[in-house]
Amino acid sequence: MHFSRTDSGASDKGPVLLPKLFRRCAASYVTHGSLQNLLADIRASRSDKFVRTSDFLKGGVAFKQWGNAQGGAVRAAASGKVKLALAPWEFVLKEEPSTLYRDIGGQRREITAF
Amino acid sequence: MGTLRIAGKISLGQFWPKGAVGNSQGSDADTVKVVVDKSRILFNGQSSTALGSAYAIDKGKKKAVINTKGEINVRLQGVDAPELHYPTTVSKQIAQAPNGHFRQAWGESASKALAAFLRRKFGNGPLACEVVSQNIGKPNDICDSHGRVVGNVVVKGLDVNLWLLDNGWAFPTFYESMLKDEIEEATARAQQAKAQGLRIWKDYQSTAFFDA
Repeated sequence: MHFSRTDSGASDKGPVLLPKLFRRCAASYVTHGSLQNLLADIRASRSDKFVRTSDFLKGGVAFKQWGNAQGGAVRAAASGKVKLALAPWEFVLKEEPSTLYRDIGGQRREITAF
Repeated sequence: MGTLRIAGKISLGQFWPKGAVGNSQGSDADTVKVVVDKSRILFNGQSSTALGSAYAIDKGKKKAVINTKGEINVRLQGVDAPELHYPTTVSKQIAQAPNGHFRQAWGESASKALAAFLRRKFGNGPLACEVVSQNIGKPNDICDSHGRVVGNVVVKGLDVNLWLLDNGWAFPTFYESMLKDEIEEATARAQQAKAQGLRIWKDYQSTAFFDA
């Protein structure tokens, strides 16, 4: 639903996806006007890498793209629609790299010490 | 590896809809602004200056970790609340459908519930709090790619992240920086909320849909 700045006071209860999947749906819908390309868009993305939680807790770090055709977390359902095949707690996501900087003498320097 | 602790205060006026003023859209349930006490930023118990004048590069722009109001944006670790105002980054040139900010069901309720709970339990604030981030090995581990500090917000011993999971206001969402204990605890709490059919879990869908 579109963003509205006011609080209508009405109930906002209703079907809800995992927000991460919702964000991909929003982008795909706006891009194509439907969700027909959702799985293709997800698979084309280089982000959204995951590993199963059970494997992660054993020390596994073999992350793969979550729309991977071989056992990804996001798959085509029998209906042809896109489905999150794992419960939200069943996967661990790879983080996007983050770097903190500080300007010193007009130069950008990575912060390396606490 | 170590633990970063940041003392600060939370204003309850930041949450949507009250916080939606001017360019601010108001905090949702999984992102909290904390006014930092810069003298009480500690890494493993030692005073840290890592965040002073620190910035990240987000979408090509500098984003100060501590803004001009002395605030940090905290992304609550391990939880993902329904979206309140998600902006797609699809350009106008390629968009085939109306663009803008999008909201999920339960996004409004989750934000309002968190503010109401904190007010009821602790008063109108500002509320003293501590931001706790474990498993930190280097300064780059403190923030996400948007320059937000990732951690748990604790108010007088109450862990806000876990409260959201306990009460079915947020989904668990795990990242590789989390500790095994943190993942296991969040899993147990989310599973209990789901078993009780609390709030978002009553309406949870795993098959993708989109209401424009």
